[in-house]
Amino acid sequence: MKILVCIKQILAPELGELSDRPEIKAGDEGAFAFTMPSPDDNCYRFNPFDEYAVEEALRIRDSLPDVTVDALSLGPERCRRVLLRALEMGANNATLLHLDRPAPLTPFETASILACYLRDNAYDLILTGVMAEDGMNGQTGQLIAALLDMPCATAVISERLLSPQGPVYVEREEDGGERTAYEICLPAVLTIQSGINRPRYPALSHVLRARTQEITTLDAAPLLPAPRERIIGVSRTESPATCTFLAGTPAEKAGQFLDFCRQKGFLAP
Amino acid sequence: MKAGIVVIAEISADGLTPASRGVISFAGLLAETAGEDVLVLVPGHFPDINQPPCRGAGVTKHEDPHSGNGGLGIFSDKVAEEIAAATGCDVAVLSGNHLSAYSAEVWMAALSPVCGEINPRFICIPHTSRGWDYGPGLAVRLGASLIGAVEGFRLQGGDFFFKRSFLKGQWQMEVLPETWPVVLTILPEARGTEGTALLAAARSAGKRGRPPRVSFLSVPSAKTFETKLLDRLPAPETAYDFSEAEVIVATGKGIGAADNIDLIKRLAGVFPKSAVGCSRAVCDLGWMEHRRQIGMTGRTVSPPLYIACGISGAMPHLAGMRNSRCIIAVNRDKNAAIFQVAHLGIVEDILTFIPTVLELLAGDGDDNTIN
Repeated sequence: MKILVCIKQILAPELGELSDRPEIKAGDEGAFAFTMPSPDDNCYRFNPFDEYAVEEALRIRDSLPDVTVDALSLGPERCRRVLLRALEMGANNATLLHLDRPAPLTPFETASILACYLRDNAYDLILTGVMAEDGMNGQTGQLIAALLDMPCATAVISERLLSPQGPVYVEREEDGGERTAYEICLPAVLTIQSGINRPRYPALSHVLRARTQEITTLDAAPLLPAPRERIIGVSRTESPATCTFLAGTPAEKAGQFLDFCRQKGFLAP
Repeated sequence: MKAGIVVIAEISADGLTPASRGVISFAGLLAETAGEDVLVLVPGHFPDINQPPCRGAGVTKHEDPHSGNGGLGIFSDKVAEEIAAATGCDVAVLSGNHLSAYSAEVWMAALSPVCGEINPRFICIPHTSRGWDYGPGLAVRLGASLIGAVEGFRLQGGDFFFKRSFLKGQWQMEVLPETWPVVLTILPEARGTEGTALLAAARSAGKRGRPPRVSFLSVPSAKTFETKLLDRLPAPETAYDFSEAEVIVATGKGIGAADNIDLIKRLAGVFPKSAVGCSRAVCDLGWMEHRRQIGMTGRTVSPPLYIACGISGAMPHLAGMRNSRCIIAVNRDKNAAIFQVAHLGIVEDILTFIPTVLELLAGDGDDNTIN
């Protein structure tokens, strides 16, 4: 049985300093594109939601015979870091769909490229994180499934695969934390909700092995589809005037905080 | 059936869900701007409608795991007339036995031929755990563009730009659809969902010069589905009862470690009727029980005072607390999205700020820790 985990390296501005004014410029084919203001490579990290997906795939491999877990990422050279991490966690193979484009991909563009790859490389189960923490779209898994005409379950908070042929039992999380249980035929796409497991720290033996493993690289540029929607500009979200910020030393702010609570009657005067 | 804007509504036994009402209202605003009509599609099982018996192949074997639950289930066709009367919009019910059970596959199969035939410019869906689940697949089937978690729109030079947030709500992007139709999943708090535009929908209906129409379409279950619904399960742990609390002190990842949760409990202990809650990230890390989670997949709360400590304010958390009467946010990042909904903002590290508050109070009385 073959499992693919799609992982994304995300922009994590908290890891570096971003100026407040992003650069907006003409991109490919005369359309508008934007780049975040020169984030250095350290401003990127493994999408935390995808760590749960990798862990879930490894747990399936631990419980069934003859399972391989492959990791796939799409993006520029720096994405090798997340693939290396997946190998360190225990993935069997890693592939980079290489694409160096300053403008971020829309979920449809990402899913179309991944679906092209999957048409030539069949998998029984495809896992993604429930969303990427940077783009917050939560659409890529569903789009891959629709493009490949496969069933899909999103926000999977519990999963059981009783045999490699399937079906897979899943519980998907709905608003308010209620769950719905489904049985889904394979091949299928599951988007994995955070909290389904505790992602492992790589074992030293896997870390050492991963260093010697090759990451297959394929050129993704020819797979890029015609865009269906375009991101035309980004801006900092402005705090509305309704928020009053306290000023002063920490102790002064603490005093003002308590005064506020007393004035509003939440604390006894 | 013709309409420039289609809303796909979710209903419960009480009629339209609040999220669906919001989307119809948003669609009303869009309708006024775009000069289009709004048609509300309501998928579900409406047994009053004369339709051939069709058992959804592969769908639930249970009698009805959904009855009494928000979302789908079995409905009286009066619901459709009530929606038309309340919104002034034309309503089309898509009814089939198999639609009493929600799965993305079943909904997409029912909706895509109907949406394809209507061929609207805009398809508006609530950004709920369901809308967000089937919306992308519906867009693929229709060859449509897709914009998720929409917060607002503007029209410029004949183009519609849709606004959405990213990077934990700290940044916003504008997205331009390049293919029609466009499938939009609309956030409950998007601009225009407040209800005022519900009147706009009614007004545009008034221009039609006839009362809204209600039509019923019987949707056969033609194929075997690969998704089989087994059961609906309650939230796994009994949710914590926040309803009595006047003050909720909630924490996010900014608390840094499980050991620091005690600080939050001590701060809550300062207030007479208080409770402790947290964001999803804190539960995922195992620092607090899942029943204390506030947000889209946890509880929705609206206490008189909400104190958010080290919470970034990503959309799923805001969805669960933004209607609190007063919100105080403490976060060391001045750009944290939580300040967009806060009334009082304190840019400090909670790990130093809370101890400072507790020290100031130390002379005033006992330290009552809330558990």
